[in-house]
Amino acid sequence: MTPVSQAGDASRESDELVRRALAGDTESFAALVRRYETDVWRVATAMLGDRVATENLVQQTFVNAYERLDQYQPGRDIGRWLKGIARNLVREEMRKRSRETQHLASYREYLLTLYEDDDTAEQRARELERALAACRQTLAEAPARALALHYEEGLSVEQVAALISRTLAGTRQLLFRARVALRDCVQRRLLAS
Amino acid sequence: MSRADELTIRMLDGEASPAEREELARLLDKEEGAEKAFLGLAEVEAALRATGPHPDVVGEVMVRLRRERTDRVVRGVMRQIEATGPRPPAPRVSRARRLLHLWPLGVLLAASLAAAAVVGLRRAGHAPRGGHPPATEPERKRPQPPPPPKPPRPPLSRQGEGPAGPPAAAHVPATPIAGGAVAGQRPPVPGEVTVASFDFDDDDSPRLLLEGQLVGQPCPAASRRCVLGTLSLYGPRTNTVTIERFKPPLFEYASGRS
Repeated sequence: MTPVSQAGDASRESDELVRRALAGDTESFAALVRRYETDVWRVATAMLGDRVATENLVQQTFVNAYERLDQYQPGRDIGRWLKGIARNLVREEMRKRSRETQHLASYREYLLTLYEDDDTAEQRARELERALAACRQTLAEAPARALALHYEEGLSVEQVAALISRTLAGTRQLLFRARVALRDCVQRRLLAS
Repeated sequence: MSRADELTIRMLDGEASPAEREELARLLDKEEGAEKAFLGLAEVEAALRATGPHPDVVGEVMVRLRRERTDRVVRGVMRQIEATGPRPPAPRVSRARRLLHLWPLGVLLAASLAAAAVVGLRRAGHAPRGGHPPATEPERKRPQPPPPPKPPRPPLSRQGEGPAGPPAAAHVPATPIAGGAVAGQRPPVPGEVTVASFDFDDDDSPRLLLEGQLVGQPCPAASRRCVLGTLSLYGPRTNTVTIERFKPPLFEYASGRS
C-alpha cells in the first residue's frame, strides 16, 4: 500500500470516528484522542511551559475540539484541525502569561506572529523537525546520548549523569553545549533551505 | 558560546535567578544578533521537548469532557430554577397538620359539586322534554369577549395563611358548566379558599414543580417528595436533564441541542 493511500485510509478512519463521536459514541472520541495526542503534544511544547501546563493545554485542546466537533468538515485533515486549535490555545496562554514570562517576550512575539497563519506554522514546524533530526546525527556520541536520555526518555539531569557516568556539572555542561551546537546547526540548515 | 547563551539555557531550564534574567534582558537589548540566538535556542528547546514522552491524556480528557458537560448542564438548570424567582422557605409540617390543611380542598370540592348539582337541576328544569340534546349537535356558543389580562398567579396558600384580600377563585379544569361559563371564570363562592392554583394551559410549569435540590443519593422508598433526575450526555450537542416521578416528566431541560 502506498503512503498516499495509507494516509487516505487513516483520514477516512478518523472521519468515521468523528461521525460516531457526533452520534454520541464517546469511545470513538477517545480513539481520536489516542490517535492525535502526540501531534497535539508537539504543538503544546512550543509554549515552553512546565509539564503540567503543557499537559493541561493538550487536554483543553481535545475538550475544545469535542465541543466544536460539528464544525469539522469531513475529508479535511483532522490532525491539522486539532493542531490549529492547539496553536490558538498556545497563543492565548502566551498572552495570558505575558507578565510572568516577561523574559520570553521576544519568543512570545515570534510565536504569535508565526501562528497567525496555520500554513506558515505547519511548514516551519516541518522544516525545524527535519533540520533538528539531521543535526542530531552530527553530534558526538556522548552529547547525543545525553540528549536522548534527557528529552526522549524524560530522565532528569541527575539520572542522565548517573547513566553516562559523569558528574552532574559535567552533564549539565554536555547538555548545554549540545543544545547550542544544535541551534547553530539548525539555523545554518534553515538558512540554506 | 556567549554569556547570553548560557543565561538563556539557564532560563529555559528554570534555573535562572531574577538577577540573571535581568542580565539576559539587558544583553538581548544590547548585543547585536543576541535576540536571534535566543530565539534559535528557544525554538530548538521546544522541538527537543516535543520528542519527549508524554502522558496518556485520553482518560483525563474523557473525565474533563464529562465534568465540563455536566457543569454546563447544571448551570443551565440552575439558571432556569433561578429565573422562577426566590424560593420560599419550606416549613416542616407534621403529617396531622398536613391532613388538617386538606380540609379546604374538601370544602372546595363539595362546593363545586353542589354548584354543579344546582346548575344541573336548574338546566334540567328548563330543558326541553326528551332530555339533553344529542352529543353530536354542534355546541352553540355565544361570542366571547377577548380574555382579560391574566392576573398574577396566586401563591400557594394554606388555611389561615392565605394572601391578603379576597380569596381568588380556584382554577379547576376548564369544563363548560352552567350554560357555557367556565368554572375558572365564575364568581368566587363565599367561604371558598384557594388551596393551590396551577394553570397548565399557558405552558408554564408550576413553580412548585420547578424547585428542588440536587442530592447525591437515591430517593428513599417511602419518600413522597423525592423525584429522580436523569442526566443524558449523548453527543457534544445533546445534553438533557429529565426529572420525573412518574411519566410524563415533571421537568426537562436540554442544553445546546443541535
